[in-house]
Amino acid sequence: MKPPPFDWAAPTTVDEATALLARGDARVVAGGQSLLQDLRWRRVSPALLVDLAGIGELAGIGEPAGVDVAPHDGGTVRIGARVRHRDVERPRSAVPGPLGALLAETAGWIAHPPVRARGTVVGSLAQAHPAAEWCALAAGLDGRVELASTTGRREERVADLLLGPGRTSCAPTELITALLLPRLPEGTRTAVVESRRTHASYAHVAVTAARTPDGDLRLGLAGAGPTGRRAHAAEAAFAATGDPDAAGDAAAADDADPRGHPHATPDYTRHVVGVLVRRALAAVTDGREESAA
Amino acid sequence: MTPPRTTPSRSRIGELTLALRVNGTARTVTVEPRRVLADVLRDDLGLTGTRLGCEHGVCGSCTVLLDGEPVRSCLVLAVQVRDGDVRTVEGLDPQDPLLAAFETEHAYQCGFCTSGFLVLLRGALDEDPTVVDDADRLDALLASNLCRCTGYEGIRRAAVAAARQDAPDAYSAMPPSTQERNSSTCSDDQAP
Repeated sequence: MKPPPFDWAAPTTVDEATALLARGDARVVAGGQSLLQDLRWRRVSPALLVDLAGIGELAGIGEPAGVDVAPHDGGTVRIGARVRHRDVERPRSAVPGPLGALLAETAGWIAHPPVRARGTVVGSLAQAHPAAEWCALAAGLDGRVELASTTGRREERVADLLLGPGRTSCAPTELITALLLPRLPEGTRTAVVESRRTHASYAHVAVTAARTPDGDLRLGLAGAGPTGRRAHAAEAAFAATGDPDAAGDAAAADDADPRGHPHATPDYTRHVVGVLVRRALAAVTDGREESAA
Repeated sequence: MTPPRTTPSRSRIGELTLALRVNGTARTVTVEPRRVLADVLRDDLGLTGTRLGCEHGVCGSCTVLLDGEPVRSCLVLAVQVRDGDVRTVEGLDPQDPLLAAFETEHAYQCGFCTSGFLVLLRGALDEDPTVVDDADRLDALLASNLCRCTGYEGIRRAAVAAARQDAPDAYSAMPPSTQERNSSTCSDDQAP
């Protein structure tokens, strides 16, 4: 269908945007690749669309400007709300090191080039689709988001932001202004493994993996539960045993909480989770087993 | 990042007047904010080469170039394009190697997806012509758009053939008018 009627505003600052959102009947548009679908299916019918395209503060990738940001292992990368998926793909991406490689590999799994040309990383978090790769990566790295409203700014862990399918802790009067991710130390090995039915499908299951030279393992999981999540059980199993099979089994049993799909029962999805976790671990460990802790 | 765009002026209630470039020409349209770019191009500007298929971002028949990049014009609001540069299938250089290649390689049957594929490929080849040299990358690119008729192989061959005709010294991302001025005289090969 065609979208329903709405008014439209193009603020140039975050404060202007939050003042508009304070009305309570407005939605934010950044890339619009999910919102336009929602509007066309008439799943949402806001009175006002607040277009972020003119807000310079939300553009770009860099170091956080605020002083209330705690660095992780050598720094934090701030991804503004206007940063598009294609902005973190190579060769465009200016994010150096292993985090940049992980971002680039993740971005390549999202939809198709014309969608990546418009859609945004933060928009994916705000949409909170259970199969979203960015939600898995951001949760897996224990990332945080910055939120703004007329009452001020706050930070939230991604794990606390993602509440359920399509639900976040971001209030209708709030704006997610950035995603904060930890820089990964040089030598960190990264991998993204995804299973999906066709090039045009959402992920069935996706795993993002980062393993530092010290053996610190961060696994993100998409499609295995109501939200993207960090695979804590798999990480613990691997830390304890060094066995990718044990990690895969733990992921399937304890990290996964899948619902049924027309093409995949929960048991099948759990099986896929186990397989992909094993493959991700193989990619970041060369198959060598770590000694037990 | 592109700089903040100018603010359109309002005329009637709810409608906005905005300026944009379409196929190299400055245009002005007055539209409700809910109008998508595909419909404005087709209904307000008469450029019906851009097709409506699924109208929710899956089929790619609505593909246009926005600031040089292929995008789904059914998922872009016209008001988001203020001051932007849009190229549709009508704006392709008549000598674009893709056009002849689609003929030679039988890359279309009913032709409904063809506009979208031509624009997708022109934008992709302009950004990186080496995409055709990696089968996986080319697969992923072609999967952006749906074709029900051809089975994709003709489209694939046409993409490869056209990319290899985009010789480095002739390759250009310039707008059509500049290409027309600089292109060599057409031979007596069959016109696209």
